[in-house]
Amino acid sequence: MEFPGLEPGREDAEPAAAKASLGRHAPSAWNEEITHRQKVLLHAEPIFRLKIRGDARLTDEHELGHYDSTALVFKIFDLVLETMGLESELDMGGLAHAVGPLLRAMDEAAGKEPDPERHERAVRRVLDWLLNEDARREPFQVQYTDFGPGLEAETRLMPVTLMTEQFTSTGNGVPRLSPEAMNLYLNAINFPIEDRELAFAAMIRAQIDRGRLTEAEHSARAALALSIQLREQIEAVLRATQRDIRQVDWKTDVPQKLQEAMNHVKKRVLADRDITAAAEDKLNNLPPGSAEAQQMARIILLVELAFKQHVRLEERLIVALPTFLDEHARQAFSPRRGAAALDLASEVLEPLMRLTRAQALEITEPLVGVYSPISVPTVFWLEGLITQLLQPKREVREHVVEMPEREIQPVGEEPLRFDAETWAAAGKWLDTVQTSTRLSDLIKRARAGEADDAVVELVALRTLFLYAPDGESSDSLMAEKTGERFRLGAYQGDNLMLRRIKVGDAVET
Amino acid sequence: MLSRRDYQQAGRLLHWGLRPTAFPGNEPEYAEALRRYLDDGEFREAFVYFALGLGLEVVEAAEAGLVLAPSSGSLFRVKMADYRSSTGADDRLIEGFIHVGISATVFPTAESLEEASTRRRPAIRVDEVEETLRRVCERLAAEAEGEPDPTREDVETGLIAAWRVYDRRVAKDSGRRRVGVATEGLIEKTLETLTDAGMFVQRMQQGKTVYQPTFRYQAQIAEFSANAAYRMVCNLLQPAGEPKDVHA
Repeated sequence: MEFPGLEPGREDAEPAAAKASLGRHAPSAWNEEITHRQKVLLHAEPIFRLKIRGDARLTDEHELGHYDSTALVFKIFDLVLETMGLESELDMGGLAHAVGPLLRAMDEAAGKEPDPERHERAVRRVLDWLLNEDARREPFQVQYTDFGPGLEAETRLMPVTLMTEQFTSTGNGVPRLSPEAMNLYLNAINFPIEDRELAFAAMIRAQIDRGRLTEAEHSARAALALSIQLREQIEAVLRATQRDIRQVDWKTDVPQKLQEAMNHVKKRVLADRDITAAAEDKLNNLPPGSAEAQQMARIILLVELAFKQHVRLEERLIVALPTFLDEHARQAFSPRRGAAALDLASEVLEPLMRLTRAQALEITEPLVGVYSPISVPTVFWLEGLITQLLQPKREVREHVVEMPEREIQPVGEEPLRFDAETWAAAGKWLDTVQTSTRLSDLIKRARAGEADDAVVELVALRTLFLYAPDGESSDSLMAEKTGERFRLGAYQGDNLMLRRIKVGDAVET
Repeated sequence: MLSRRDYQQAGRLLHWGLRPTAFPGNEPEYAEALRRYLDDGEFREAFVYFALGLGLEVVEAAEAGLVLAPSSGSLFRVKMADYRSSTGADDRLIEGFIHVGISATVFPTAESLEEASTRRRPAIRVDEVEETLRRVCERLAAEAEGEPDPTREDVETGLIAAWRVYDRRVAKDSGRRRVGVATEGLIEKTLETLTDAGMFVQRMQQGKTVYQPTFRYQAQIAEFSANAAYRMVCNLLQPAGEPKDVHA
């Protein structure tokens, strides 16, 4: 695809009239603003990639082709955002259930019977895509073209994370929107979090005043999500400081960010109180138990939750400076203290395996110690031991089913591959060996004498056994290797020599 | 000023922090004490220093739980003899590699190690850990290509490169060999031990056994073990004569 006018050389070729029409403020061929806007829009690219390419992989074999993945993605975004930070935060199963009505509607439109299992599969696949499970949950890499000062075209990759999974207090995981996805969904990707949050606060207040409670509730949910996002962002900076102080710019960037955050939190705390007061005032004038009153109570709850996030953030900000000073003192003379930018495979595992065996053994025990979980030491308790030793033998309780004694029956003898008649016939052929006879000759003789296949097979097997008898053999025949090989129909191998043992023969061992 | 009740609550928090399979969401007392820890600076400081005195470091505290790790020489630190009573030196060495290999599989990039520990990493499989370790062996083997084979004396005095110990072990057990010597079996055993200790959750995914790292595991590795292991290796790589500290 060509973009005329982007190359410097092409500008000269433009008609003079067109140039004149641009006047004195001829637009530059490319600028940072275009790059920025392009990147903003490209945050949605993975969603459309799922739509275009992903639908096909979701589909035919799994009968999911009639589901619109984009609709499912945005409904999931909405559900996650709506419950973020609340006790009722939805897990994967909860999402599948909540998206159910949409899936049923799409089933109906496609003339298919609703199937809960298929619904779960569809939601699971969309979530796997949003988490980028194919790339082990690493960010999507979105490709775009940027232009340098001399209009050199450069292909760049922008990492985009849409969804993550967070641990909850019960050890399970809940999906969470990434800041990019949240901003994308709230249609505010171009503004700093603080501005958006204050904008939402002002919006909630205005919506309450105008009685638009449904919209106010949605705004309150969005504001709560943004509060969580801001707190997590500040905590990430503090965590990075604790790991490696050189990782963050503590001279200009971070103090400025913290100061801005502090100012913002102060404003938000005031705004939260203002909203709560206004909402409580309205609530007092509403009929108790009415739908409006319930909705207003939910708004108050959401604003209070956001208020708690701000109080927690304020506390973290107050200790941020001492954190920096402590870490500065602690890390000042250390070559590297934290796990910052530490690649475990190349910076720990590989150097460890590169050591000599003796060196590596030197640190194996402490290494396993730091990688293992805590082991709580047991304390010897004499009273406990005595109690255990003296406790009476456990009685058989009535409800315990005793195992009946099994009656053991003798099983029949192992079935034989060859019956007695075949054994007798094969024995007769072996008895014919009086002088040294090759196995191939004996087989030929037996076949010529119209012996059954089973008899011939048994003759061959018994000859093999005579070569390497399992234990002591009472046979007066023995078989030896000749170094020759033979092939007769299905039989092939060493052409063993059969010999009758006579008294006085020396047997090699 | 903390009260007697506060000290008792700090003790209860320690009690819950030492129970690897307890979650605040299931234990109201744990949740309350943890909330106190997160919100009250004085309480938090008292708890941190008391735990430190016991040989425990608070590596992470979040709504998902409190994660403690044993400091150097701690009574709470696992000794190899505690859970592998009859292994030889090579098995011990391989076990050390496996622990680092598991962590490198859970955190395959530097960026992933920097993420918040509350962000759940994908589950791993035994063969993925094996692949991580074999890949390093292959890289080191390629580097060593052309070098003379180790002498018998090198082997006897342990001067062969450590990766060779892993490299010469088979990946899978076969009927003819002693069971439990293959590296995949040892990885599985290590993951099961970590699962019993609340560091992983075992489940089936598309017909295969996978091990999902827990918050406790992720926090311990990202905030404690990775750094400690890095320092141990760095200490050993220091030029001879300089003081070494292999105990993180």
